[in-house]
Amino acid sequence: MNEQRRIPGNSIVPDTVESQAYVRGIVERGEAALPDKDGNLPHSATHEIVGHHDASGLPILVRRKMF
Amino acid sequence: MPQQLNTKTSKRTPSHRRIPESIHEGVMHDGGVNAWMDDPENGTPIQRPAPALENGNLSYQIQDDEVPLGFYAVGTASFRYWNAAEALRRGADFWQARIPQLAWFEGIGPKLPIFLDDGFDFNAFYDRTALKFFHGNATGGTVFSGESPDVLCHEMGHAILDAIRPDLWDIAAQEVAAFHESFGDMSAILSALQLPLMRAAVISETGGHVNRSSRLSRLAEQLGQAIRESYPNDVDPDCLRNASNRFMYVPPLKLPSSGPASILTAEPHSFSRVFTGAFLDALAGMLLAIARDPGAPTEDELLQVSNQIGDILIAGIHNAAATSDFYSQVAAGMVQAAGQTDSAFARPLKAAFVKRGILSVSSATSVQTLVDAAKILSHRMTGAATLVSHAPSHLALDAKHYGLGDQALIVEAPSQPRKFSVSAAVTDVVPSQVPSSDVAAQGFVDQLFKQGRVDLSGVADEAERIDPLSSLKTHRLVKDNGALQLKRVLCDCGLKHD
Repeated sequence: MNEQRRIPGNSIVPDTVESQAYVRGIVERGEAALPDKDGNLPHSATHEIVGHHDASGLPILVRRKMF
Repeated sequence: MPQQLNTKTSKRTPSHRRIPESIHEGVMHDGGVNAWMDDPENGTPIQRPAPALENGNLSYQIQDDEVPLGFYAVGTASFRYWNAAEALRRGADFWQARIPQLAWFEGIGPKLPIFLDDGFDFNAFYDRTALKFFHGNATGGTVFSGESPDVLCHEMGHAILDAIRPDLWDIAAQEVAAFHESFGDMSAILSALQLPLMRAAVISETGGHVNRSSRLSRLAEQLGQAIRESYPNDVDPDCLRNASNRFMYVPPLKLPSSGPASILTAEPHSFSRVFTGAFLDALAGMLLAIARDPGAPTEDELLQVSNQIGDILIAGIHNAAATSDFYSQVAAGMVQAAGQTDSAFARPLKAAFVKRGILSVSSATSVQTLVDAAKILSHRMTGAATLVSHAPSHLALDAKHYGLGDQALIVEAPSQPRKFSVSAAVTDVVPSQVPSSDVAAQGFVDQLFKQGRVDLSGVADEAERIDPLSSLKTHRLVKDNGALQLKRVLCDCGLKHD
């Protein structure tokens, strides 16, 4: 796991088959994003990208909202 | 065209349109407000008692400029302010009555902030700090997501579930995320049913079968219409999501991550429709179970079951482990709670969840019981000499699978020798594996029970039954020599919708 910055304790780490499927779906639907300089996510994003999981090639996420 | 009550209705919210005669709902000791009954699309304006935004642990603070109490015209910001306040208060009061000590997620504090118009978007969300609503342009005018009680109570539902089970927020499981969405839609349905006029309208529109498509099941019609103009495949044909649907449970790992609204996908809103559909079926079954006249349930009876299924849902959520099969966890907890609430409720709950595939009809098998029962039956039918020398053409299944107690269920197994070496295909080129006779028989019987096609009269206790109250029965069970036998009664055309 490559921690680009401090990973919050409530992060979703794609280290199992199920969590990888879950994260992959979020990424494919465009619901994961990096925050802007003010820390805000685009409206369409439900999850903030907080790191990168090298083994799976998927981002580490934290949920920020539910539609 | 659905039957309408004798009410004034309006199409898409026009700007600055006044309500000529709104329907009075409730006693207004301290004044009242105008509001929508459920959704602005073909909406019914009603008058409601003044909502108290600050009330108990589940208080709100609308962040827009405060608007004096009063009856405001549809299409004005002042109308949207009090319409939102009314819907949010009604929704929170419903859940507060179920869990009096319930409070917003710990980081929020006593007042949940509400942003009624936070910018341009066809959207709304809950983010553990606030509920935020937006606006967008559509044919017929501006659409405000915060004007629809359906949308308001869906988002409030997220906040309520987050208050009940904050651990679900971060769970990386498709079913947990989808259940959060389903809870939002169930909140919208249950909040709407707190209005007497809504209950009367739904009973009138559905003939008392409240799982039929109606203004109750059609959630967020206006927002759905606005989105449909730009993305016709993203929403249901008649609303954003219709809880009256036929979607069956499929493990979400086997589903595509997204797709059109016409198919089931692993996207949480899409997959939520399986549970919400089962919930509406269960509500309908419960109403028929307690109605004095099942042919004409009353709105008081609908209020009673809406409160009871709210209690049952909460119990199911409390008891459910946060696992990847979260739907079945909640469903099992609800069935258990239903039996404790009213013995008449276990059956419609089971029927609804089994029919959707959320709860399996199978359970652990008592092998020895089955073997013994099969021996007894074979001996009686064919004589002792053939008891163990031939493969039985009758198969003994565990009746406990179907809630029928510790006995055998005898079915005719498809075990005759094959004349042609053919099979069905998974794809055009890949043949499927032909199931063994016992697997095929079990699958067939499971399907009959799932579809509610087996008449259990006289062989099962009422509380143990999983068949729907009203469905066409193609098979019946006959008790014979200590075992149950499955007998076909008729073949149906398959066009009857229960």
